[in-house]
Amino acid sequence: MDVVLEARQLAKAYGVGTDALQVLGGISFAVSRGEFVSIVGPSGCGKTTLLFALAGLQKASTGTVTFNGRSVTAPPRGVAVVFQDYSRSLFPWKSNRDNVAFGMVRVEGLSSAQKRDKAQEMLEAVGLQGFEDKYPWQLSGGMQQRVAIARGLASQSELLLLDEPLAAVDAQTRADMQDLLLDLAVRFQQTCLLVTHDVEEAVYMADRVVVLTRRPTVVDHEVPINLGKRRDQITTREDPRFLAARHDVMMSIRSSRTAAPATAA
Amino acid sequence: MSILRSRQGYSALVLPVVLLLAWQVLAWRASTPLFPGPWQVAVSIWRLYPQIVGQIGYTLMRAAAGFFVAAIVMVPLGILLGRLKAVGSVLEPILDMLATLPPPAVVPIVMLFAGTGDAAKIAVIAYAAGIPLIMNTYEASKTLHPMATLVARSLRLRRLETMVFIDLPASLPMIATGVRLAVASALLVSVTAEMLLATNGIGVFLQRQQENFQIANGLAAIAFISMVGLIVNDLVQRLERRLLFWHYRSTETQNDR
Repeated sequence: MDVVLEARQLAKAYGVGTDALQVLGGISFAVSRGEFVSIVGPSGCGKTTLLFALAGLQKASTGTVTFNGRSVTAPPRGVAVVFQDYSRSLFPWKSNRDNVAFGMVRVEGLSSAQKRDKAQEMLEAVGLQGFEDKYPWQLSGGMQQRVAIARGLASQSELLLLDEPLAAVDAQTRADMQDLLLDLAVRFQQTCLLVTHDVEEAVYMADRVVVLTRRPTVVDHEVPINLGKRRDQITTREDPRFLAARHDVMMSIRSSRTAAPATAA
Repeated sequence: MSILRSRQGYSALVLPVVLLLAWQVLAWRASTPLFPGPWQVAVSIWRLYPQIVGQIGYTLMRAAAGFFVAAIVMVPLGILLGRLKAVGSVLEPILDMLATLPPPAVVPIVMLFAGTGDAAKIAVIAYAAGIPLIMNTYEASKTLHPMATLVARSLRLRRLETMVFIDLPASLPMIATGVRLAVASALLVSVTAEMLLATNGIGVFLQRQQENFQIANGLAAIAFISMVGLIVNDLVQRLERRLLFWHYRSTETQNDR
């Protein structure tokens, strides 16, 4: 398959010498075009550090990230990030449409009218028609995150990196947003990499789950989820294959947690 | 909202009216030109207003020129220093020192380089207005949430684009505080500079009247200065409300939750 993103022996340490904290211990995995991959791991295993390294927002200590065969040293063209903190990642002085259009600020070959139309289209795709001229602070948390997702989709990204995008929204909204994300991924044939601490979410959303160990973090193992692209909040979650995958992932996370020495993190 | 405001408007008038009446009574009892009452001041205003308005025109023009020079230089500089943390931390103590220096104290130094003309006065005004502008802009730019930078980088903005499209608007609420201080400072120092570097303007007019013991005329000028100050302050606040509606509205909605 056509590999879009690949991490090889990605390691990250904070600090130097004996005080150094080895967060990532050599992570290797790949994401193919059209795939929806979830990354899940025990608390404090450096999921966000990993995502920022993949996005080119933070330098890894050793190892490489390649996107479309090119080494990633800065945020590359074609990668969009949806951050957990939606209220801070949107700009309050811009209307929702302008926020989405601003996602295309460095996309070349589009006139500002075309960007506007595209922003409109993406806001409609995330179910926010009628809110284009409102401002992010006039929306609920879940709706704000939809604007951020629309911005990510609008930037013509080949890869959408999702950093715990639903961690701060309530449970019902989260279920709706999971289905929305899945629909959008199919509709726009969007390759997605979701980082989450929620095992059920990781399994429900993904074609493949990458399970991480505790610090210094490496890939424990990968779990293919053979449930097809169509998922349903009720029936999928009752499917024996879903339950088996959930069991598998939870077991390995529990074993790395119990193996962990008590830490403040 | 408008009812509330007009009620506040009426009650705000009570104290000034009482004070004016008390002043008039005291002035009648003193009955000397050295202690004019509001009535004599009103007569002076009526007699002298063409002259006063003309002089205040000079004062306002220089205040505006000084303010805009300061804004054009200090706002971009403040944003830049907030980004260049190393340079910023070197310059910070110098800024703190300059902030405590009264603007009239720099007048003799400015005179050495710029003489006593309009340029000298505008330079002193720009200095006075520049201090609150750069302090507030720098502080805002320095304390921007790191999330804004992350978003900017992930959207692959260039450094200059980040400063113009993100740092500047995100800093505007604090810059607005600086603008309010700077506008007040510019008006104040514009009058002071005229008194020190006499040529024209309301400051010179005021000084002449007081030197000639025309106390009522001097008070008439002061009344005009205060009025202009109020009007300018109101305009600045209206402009701020209009440009920063997203800031006020968004903090209001957050408080509602």
